[in-house]
Amino acid sequence: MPEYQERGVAWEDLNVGDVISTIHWFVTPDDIKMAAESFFDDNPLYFDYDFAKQSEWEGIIAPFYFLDATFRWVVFLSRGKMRHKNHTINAHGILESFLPIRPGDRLVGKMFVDEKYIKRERKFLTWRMEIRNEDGEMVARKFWRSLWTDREIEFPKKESYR
Amino acid sequence: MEKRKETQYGTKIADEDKPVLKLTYDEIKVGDELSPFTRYMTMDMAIKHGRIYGDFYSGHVDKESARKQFGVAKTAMQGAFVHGGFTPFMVNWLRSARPWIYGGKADIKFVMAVNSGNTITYRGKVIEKKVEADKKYVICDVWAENERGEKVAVGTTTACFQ
Repeated sequence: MPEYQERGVAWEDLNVGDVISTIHWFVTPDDIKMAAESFFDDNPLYFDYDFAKQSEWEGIIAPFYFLDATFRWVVFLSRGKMRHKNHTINAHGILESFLPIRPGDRLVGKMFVDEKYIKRERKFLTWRMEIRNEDGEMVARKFWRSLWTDREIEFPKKESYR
Repeated sequence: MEKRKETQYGTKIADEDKPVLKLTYDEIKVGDELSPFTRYMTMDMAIKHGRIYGDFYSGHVDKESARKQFGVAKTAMQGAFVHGGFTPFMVNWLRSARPWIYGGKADIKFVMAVNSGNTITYRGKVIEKKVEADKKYVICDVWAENERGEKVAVGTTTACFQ
């Protein structure tokens, strides 16, 4: 939906059940390390091969929040050639992990519009992100609810970076 | 005094033949408090975190945008970043990532913005233990609070023992 890249997607444009996009991801040790670094998590299980090899996992695994690094909702939007029009504010997040993610895994993530409602004249929308491995098993799932404000995002002008 | 393993030069070192300590389902009791986990939130963290999903302009990484997005000229930490802090909190308490990766769940509501400069402490208490099929679950009431004792995120976490 390229028009949503230009003008931005609004709460009204989305319907429950819409598939926003699909992301295919080949997991590398660097992806896992970057996820841990971006969350400032210094557990060596995520990046120190020697440490991880001697652990109960016998190798590096991805942290619980890996989905939040590589399969972020704004990344799904971008892959779907969209950007959100208005500012959103996080309200509620449910993250579940079912199986470990390791370097070399081939993951497929999909994002759906799971729920939409208005409460006290405020607009809420819940994304559902599901990540599966090459065997089709669900490895992680996330529900992410945000309040969609009426305040439009203003992209910074070049001058603001000078 | 407990006998320690020594090198040929008399340097006392960890005995790698000893099993690594980790909490088991049976050792955990309803009412147990989880070990607190503290994190200092800085603007640098928010900027570095924003990079993983291509955010270079929102109120999480730019003070002027924060004023328009949240109404205060202080960058707000990403909800996912606050949510992500529950992982080291749980893994440190459990002394193992296994019950968190195989069936773990973090169900968190964001009740207040976390701004750079805040000191956030994650806390929790075990409220329920249950067995379903071949899995054993420990459910915890958890929250994150700022340096003034105000709760910024509240919810439950579930660790799964198999």
